[in-house]
Amino acid sequence: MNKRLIALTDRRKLIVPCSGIGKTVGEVTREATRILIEELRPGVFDTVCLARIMMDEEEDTRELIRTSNVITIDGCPERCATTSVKFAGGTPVLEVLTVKVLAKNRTHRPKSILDIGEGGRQLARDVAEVVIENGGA
Amino acid sequence: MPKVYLLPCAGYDRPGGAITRMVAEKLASSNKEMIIGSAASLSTERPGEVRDLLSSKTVILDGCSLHCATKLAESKGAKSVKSIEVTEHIASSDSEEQKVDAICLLVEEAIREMAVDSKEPTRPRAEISDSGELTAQIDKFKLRVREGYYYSDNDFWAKVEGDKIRVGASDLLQQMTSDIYYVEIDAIGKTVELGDEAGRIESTKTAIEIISPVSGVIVEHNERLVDSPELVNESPYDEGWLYMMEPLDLSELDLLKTAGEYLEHASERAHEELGKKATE
Amino acid sequence: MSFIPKVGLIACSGEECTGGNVSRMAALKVLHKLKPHDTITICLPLFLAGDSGERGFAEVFPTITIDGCGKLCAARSTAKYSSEPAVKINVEDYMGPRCRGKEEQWRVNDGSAIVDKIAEDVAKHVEELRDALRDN
Repeated sequence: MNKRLIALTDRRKLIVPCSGIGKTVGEVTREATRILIEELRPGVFDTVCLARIMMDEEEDTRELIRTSNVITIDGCPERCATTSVKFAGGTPVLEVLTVKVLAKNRTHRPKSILDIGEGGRQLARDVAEVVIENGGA
Repeated sequence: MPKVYLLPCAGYDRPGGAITRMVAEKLASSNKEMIIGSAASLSTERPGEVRDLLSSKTVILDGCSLHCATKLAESKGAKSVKSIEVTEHIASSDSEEQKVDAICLLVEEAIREMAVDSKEPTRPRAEISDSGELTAQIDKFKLRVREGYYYSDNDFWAKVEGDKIRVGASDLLQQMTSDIYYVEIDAIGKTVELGDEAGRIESTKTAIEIISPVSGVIVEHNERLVDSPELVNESPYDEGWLYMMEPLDLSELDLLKTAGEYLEHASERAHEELGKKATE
Repeated sequence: MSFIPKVGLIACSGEECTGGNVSRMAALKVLHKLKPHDTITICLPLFLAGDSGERGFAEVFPTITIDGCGKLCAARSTAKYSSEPAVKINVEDYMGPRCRGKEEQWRVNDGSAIVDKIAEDVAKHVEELRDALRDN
């Protein structure tokens, strides 16, 4: 395991969004991750490529997943991010499902994957706040 | 006419194996639409080989009664297959040329039959799954239609259960709407006519009215949808049902489509609707 | 030939770096603007989380993978869980080591011209693959 990854493990929590490219809510998970890392808790959270987690020969990544506090943000009930983290041997400390958050804030519906619109941005903020409220930071 | 994928077993240890190979070479030289498959490439799933198999009408030449080539093609998902076991159609006293010509005629006849089949406006190729569902593949989407249910043109289903009717959304509808996060059904005791609104569904992609497929009195809601509306996506024909009715006129079911009829209707819509990107 | 498969586009969408974001933007541009009727996509992690339908995806559709860096996670995962991609694009070939930085991890600014260039190249590959399938 390289030094950079060890450093991340020691001081940061990992947000793993599904980043789904086929559905609008996938883009919302990405925006929620950005809000957490850049705006709400800079220096507290980091992220790791979900595609890397899928590669079982990426031992460094798997070690990072196993030894970090991982929070998954999924767009739809397929729960790709959560499944991938578990595949890598990790256990998420918090799993957030965007469509469930949307059910509680029904006016915050995203517009399209190319432009999630004001509703989508609000939904991303709702998701980020769920992470904070549930002890994510 | 779709392209034809001809798979000879080409087995060297069987008397018919060499004939299958000669037939394939002869036909390929005169038919540019024909792809000669390779059993070895199919076995190792060489890129492009499985794709050719699945996107073509398939004729298989087996050199003996073990039917190795047919089994191999079927194991890779081949559909619309015509198999010819060459030893059934040639006499040992025939010359090699006579044997090849005889099998070539059979292959050409099989291809003509396939051409006729493909011109008939039949319903899409459907399979029946273990759960009693008709399925059809539309691009990357698998469309499921449950046998024994009745379907409306609005993509809701009705199922007779004793003296009541259970109502739900079809698999096509749940795929078109994408992830559902809210379901609202009209009050218990309310009478709705066929074609009336009986509630609404909201999803990440759209909001739609629930259009009742038959007339009746709503007598029960699926309470699980309050906390888990995603059940409509995950299990449209079982756990994701919407409401129960006491029907006013059971003869209205005659106005609905059977599973087979609906699969044809739904497949056409699926080609138009599923995978639409502009609004995603 | 009555059935010409669409071309599957699979981007790594890597969250850690600029290249991942560029891969996603380029894929979305082809999917929604340049070749909306000739392409289709699935989320890469669906190879793990989805059913056999997702894993059978690349057996029915020729695929183009778009990776944000030389790790080639999308190409390797597609090959591992489904089938070898027809074309593999690496953003690093277009923008060099800058793709491993975090400057445009979330928003593509200076890299927008590179997104356009990659999208155009991918669209050409889509045309070539579809033509080849048509000729078969």
